[in-house]
Amino acid sequence: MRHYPVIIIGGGITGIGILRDLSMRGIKALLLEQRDLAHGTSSRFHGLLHSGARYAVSDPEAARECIQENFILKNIAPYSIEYTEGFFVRTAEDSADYEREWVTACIAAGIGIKQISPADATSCEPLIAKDILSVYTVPDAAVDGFRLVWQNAHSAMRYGGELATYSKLVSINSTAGKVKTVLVENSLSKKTELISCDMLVSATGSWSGQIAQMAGLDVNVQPDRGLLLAFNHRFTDRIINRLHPASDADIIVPHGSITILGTTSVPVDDPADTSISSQEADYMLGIGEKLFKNIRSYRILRAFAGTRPLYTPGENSAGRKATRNFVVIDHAVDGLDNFISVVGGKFTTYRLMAEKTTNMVAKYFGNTAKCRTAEEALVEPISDKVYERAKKFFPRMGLNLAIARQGGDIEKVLSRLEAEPTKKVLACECELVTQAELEEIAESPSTRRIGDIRRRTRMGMGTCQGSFCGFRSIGAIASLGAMAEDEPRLLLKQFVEERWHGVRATLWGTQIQEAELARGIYGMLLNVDGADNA
Amino acid sequence: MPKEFDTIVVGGGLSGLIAAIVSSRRGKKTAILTKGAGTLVIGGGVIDLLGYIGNRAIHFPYDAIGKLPYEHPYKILGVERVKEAMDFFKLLTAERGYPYISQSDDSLSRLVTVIGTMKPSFLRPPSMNPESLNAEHIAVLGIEGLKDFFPELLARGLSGAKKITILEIPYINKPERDLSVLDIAQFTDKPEGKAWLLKALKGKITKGSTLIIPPILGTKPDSSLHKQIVAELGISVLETSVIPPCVTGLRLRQLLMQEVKALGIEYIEMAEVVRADVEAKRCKAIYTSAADKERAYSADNFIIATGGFFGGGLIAAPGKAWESIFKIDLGAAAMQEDWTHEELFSQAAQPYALLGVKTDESLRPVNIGGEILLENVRFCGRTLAGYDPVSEKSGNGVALSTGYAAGEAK
Repeated sequence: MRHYPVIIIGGGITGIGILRDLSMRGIKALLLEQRDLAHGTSSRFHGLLHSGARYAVSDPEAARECIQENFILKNIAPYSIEYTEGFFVRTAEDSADYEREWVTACIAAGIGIKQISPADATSCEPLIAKDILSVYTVPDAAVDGFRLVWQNAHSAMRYGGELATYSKLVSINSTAGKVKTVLVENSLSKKTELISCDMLVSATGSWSGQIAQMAGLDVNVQPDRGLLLAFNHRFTDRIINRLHPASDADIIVPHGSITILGTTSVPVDDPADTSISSQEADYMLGIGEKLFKNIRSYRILRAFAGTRPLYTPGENSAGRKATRNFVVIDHAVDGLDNFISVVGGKFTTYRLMAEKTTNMVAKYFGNTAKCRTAEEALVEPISDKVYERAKKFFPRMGLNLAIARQGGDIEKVLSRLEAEPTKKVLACECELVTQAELEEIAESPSTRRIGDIRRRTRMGMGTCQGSFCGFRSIGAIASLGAMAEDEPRLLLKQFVEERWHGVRATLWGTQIQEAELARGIYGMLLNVDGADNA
Repeated sequence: MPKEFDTIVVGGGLSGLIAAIVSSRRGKKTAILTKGAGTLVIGGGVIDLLGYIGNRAIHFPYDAIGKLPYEHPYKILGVERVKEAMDFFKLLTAERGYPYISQSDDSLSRLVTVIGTMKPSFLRPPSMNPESLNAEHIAVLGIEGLKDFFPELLARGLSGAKKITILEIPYINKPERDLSVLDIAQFTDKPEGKAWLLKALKGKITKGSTLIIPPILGTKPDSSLHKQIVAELGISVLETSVIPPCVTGLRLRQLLMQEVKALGIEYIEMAEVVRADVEAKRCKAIYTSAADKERAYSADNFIIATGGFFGGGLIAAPGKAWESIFKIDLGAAAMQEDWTHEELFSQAAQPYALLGVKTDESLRPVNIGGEILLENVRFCGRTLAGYDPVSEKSGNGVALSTGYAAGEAK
């Protein structure tokens, strides 16, 4: 039986952050994720790296944590973050009293806000409604969730951390007040494995309640579903927040060439409930219209949903040291000595959550190494020599994107290109992914399904929504002889079907044109749906 | 307003071009107004007729037409007019020196796609003859640096009992950007390109075998290079469909445009029709929108071949859909969730794909009660209701037969 000092459950940003921190402190750990990394909430949010201003009034402690972590992440993760800055904008519908309260609270929390005139704001962001009343700049930024998770994973693996995707926890086995083993099922092969550990950490966000239940414990996490809309173009260069108490559809975040509008808040039973309704989308557009008058005419790429883990301390939680933002629960108080859950929190403060959790684990092992995750960059600096080699194959923009995705592995992509220069053809024009990089990812042992390629490259998430790059992904897979047991037609079908879920709720205007193009290419030209092909 | 034309066709895709050609051949003074180049370059340049009804594969499409629901365009036309249209097209392409062929028993043939699937289709150019797949030895051509063609993918999709080999050849006329199938087809339009291809293939493949290639045999409706390779190398050569831009569709478009030109049909580009003047159920004129002003065009008859949601002939908004020129309501479901199935490719028609203009048998628009809305306006191609070209594999077949019927209409 395999044994690890620590097993972490959950391949979202928090779990991966813990794996990195533990590995850097020399504590051996294995992370188990039921699907692909960042498949859950870490890729299903608006991608806002909070300045904390949104929480300044309602939760000053969370606001202070956000602004501290905001600056730390800009430092250690430049390749995942676009330093856009943010606007807080008050419209005629929003209270002037709240504005005064908010300004005071931001200053108290140490958030650098600056008032600018609505005229200056609309000259920077010309599509914002002209009838806005007041505007402040804040140090918000856009963060790429997939990318940050993968960069943490690469960093953790360099320090000896291990991870297994498509590994679903089946049971937690404990005796005499200690977790001894966990039973894990490979969700692709359905094979199970019993693995023993000295300590178990659950960093499972909305799934925390379910995981705790496997150990017979109660963790009161309420999954709360939020809907997001991704638009086809970048209609704002800055993050736009409504200056009012946090509410629905009041955050707009630019990412590369697209823009995301979020979000709603609906309590749900199932943490995996990512259902989408056209009425909810329509409702969000109605609010988005207050800031961007023509938002209904912009092409929507897709709608998507994720669940936030809202934590409410239970009745028996008295005495637990809790911040209002997130909680690290030592289940020793519940009678299990070596089981920790980390719950609540925000993407922005993941590193801090990981640090606090790792501190608790380190104390258990008597490890006194210092936490260095706030100082050490996630991606090792790329040498000038590598830049020189890369110049032959990449335009500047494409190189920076490839480094952001690949980090140090960019050298493997370069080796492929040097061996076969024709592999510089672009498989994805939206994200500037070369055939060589696509092949590198397709051959990576962590790539198990066609959707994994999509998450690693962002292929299929841009303007074409997979109409062209889906075909190229399976072309690369076939060229390499990868996924040999799968019929290409079905892989392609799977690729487009995953996109369809997010498309059908807003199928009107230019969205329906794009859907008809995808159907035309894959259905009419390539007959992926033909009954007699099956 | 003085009448300028007997017939004005709006739309330059397959159905519009066919309608204009048929109308002009009947002696009508005809014009075509187009916004863009139509969707022939996106489609594969073959005429699908009716591949599936639901999840049932069709072998003899003429026999199956009778089993379609009454609102289907084929059912509205009747099988005889569909046959007439297909025969007309065969004759037209033969006259132009690039004859489209069907199976002698009017069954569907299964054409090879770029992912190695087989697609049921009815009429195809000579270079796409799937019978050559019966050869003892099959090879797939790979060309160095070519984008959007993966020989291993095609071979993997195709491979059943047969062993398929891959023949890789270098390319000599690389552009600075990514190399596309269209680039190579443009190269083989020229003598040096033809010479390159013949030389690259010579001695690389045994006589009697079949070579599957991307559609690189020129951009023109001209089979001479195909014939030359077949004759000189003693092999069969089979072109596949590829993802857009589709060279095979481009060839068909060029062929039809040659005919449009030869007939003296007025072809007016960049002319998006935005509205119409209607009086007592007759369309008097239609209006195009240019940068700063509208221009009116008048005629006795109008044929609307503006396409579906993709082409812009149909417009969708949350819970409603309408035709773009006459604003005919299409009766869409109020809830967006009812427009689609949970699966994109479920072998059933997508509900929204069945939306379109309902017509009488002369292709004039009618309301739910069957009452004619416009006496001198006919609709054809993807504007029509009652069929899903994707699940049925019937797209170009409906475009061709309804375009033909609209052009014929008195």
